[in-house]
Amino acid sequence: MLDDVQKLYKDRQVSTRNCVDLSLLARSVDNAQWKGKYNTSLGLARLVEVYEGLKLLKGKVTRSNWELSRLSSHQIECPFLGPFTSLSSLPLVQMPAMMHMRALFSIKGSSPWGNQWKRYPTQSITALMQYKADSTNPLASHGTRTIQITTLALPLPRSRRNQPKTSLLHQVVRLLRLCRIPVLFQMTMLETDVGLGDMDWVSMVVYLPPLVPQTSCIPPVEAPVGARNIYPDRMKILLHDLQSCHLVETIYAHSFKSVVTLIIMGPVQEWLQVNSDKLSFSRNISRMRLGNVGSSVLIPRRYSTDTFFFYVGFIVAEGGLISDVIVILEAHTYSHLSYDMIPV
Amino acid sequence: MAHLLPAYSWRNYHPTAQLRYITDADNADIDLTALDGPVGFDLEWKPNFVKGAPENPVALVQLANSKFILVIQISSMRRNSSLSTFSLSSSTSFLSGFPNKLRDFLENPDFVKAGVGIQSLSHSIIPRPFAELHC
Repeated sequence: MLDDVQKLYKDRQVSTRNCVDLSLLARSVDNAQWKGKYNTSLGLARLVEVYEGLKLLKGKVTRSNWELSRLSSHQIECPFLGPFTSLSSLPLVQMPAMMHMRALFSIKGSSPWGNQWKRYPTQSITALMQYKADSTNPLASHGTRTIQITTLALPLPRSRRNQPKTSLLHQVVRLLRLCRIPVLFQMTMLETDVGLGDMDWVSMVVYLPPLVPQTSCIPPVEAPVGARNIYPDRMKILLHDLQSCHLVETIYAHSFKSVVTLIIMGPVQEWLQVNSDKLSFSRNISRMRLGNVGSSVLIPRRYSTDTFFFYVGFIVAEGGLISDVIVILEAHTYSHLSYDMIPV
Repeated sequence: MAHLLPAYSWRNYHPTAQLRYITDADNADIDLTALDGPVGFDLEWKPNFVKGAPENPVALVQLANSKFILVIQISSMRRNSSLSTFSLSSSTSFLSGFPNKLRDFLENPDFVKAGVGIQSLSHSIIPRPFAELHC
């Protein structure tokens, strides 16, 4: 898709924005399913085969002459297999996303004209992930809330002496890494005519899991017809995990002159304190990680963003196993934000 | 195993979806006005079988949601615009023969365009510090 969009820019100077590459999305949320490196592309036919249980017949028509004055019926009919299949594959790609509960960040275009901090509209992406919420989506049929997506914008600091302009973003990434939170970036296109030096903000799209109360009961979910042989057993296990998902409390991070302090507030902290002896951890999450979150994390901070908000959720499987952690992050530069605005 | 699978057909998913084959900018404008995101997105161009020869330009833009499937042949618009400059539609960019509404739609960050197949992350598009952020 990147190649396509680059070519469109090269041929027609069109900057296609807000692209979601389903190959990367599948890699990001369901990498165990796929071999190879994260950025190794997955073909549409393969995605359809795995997630839809169908075979994509595109054939030689893709190499035909698309500049004919009148395309043949086969040419007209066949090519939209591509886009249409892309879209219809989404809900099934989304399901592992809901189960893995990992944060996907999307870096959007930038504003070379000095726009201020901006919250991107989220409706379109939310619609994307809620698409096809019908009987073919086993989760939707059981009333599970579909994935929530929040779009955030992070202001990058203006140029200062001895400070790279991307420092805030790097700082955020370091912060998340320090917390040992698996962060995967789902990148959309950056404008080709905007270099790094012109960029003054970057937005991130974060995919959040549904909020499922612990008391809710989701019946065992069967794979959709036609995909029976596709879904591995672990899918059912993960669906079971979803039933005991402890989410989501606010962690408030206030920036001081030299440190960012993360403070866990509310029931998550209490829950951690009560259950810390009973918990065990999957290989991705260490005890140190939980310990840090349970108290506070001091991050050396040299940059100018005023306030961070972190929302952290723990996915707890049967037996107290924490299978994953999700984090979203929000940064504000508004000076009027204060403790009073923090939900407790 | 894969050959045993049933064939994909979009009609099984959205039998009421309308397929539009569009070769002029005015019709592209009309149909794109009704289109909203998210959409599936793909491009096609005439392959070049001569080694070392430059690629042909994009000929076809395909956009699809649950209601519409737009197969927009921009190569024919380019041809029309170059042949009859004086009758060039106001819906078409004078310089490129590219429908303005299509450009607006693609450049609009409010509409998600979903596709498949990033082959590599180019540093010319994604600056190095960001590319390094992949975890």
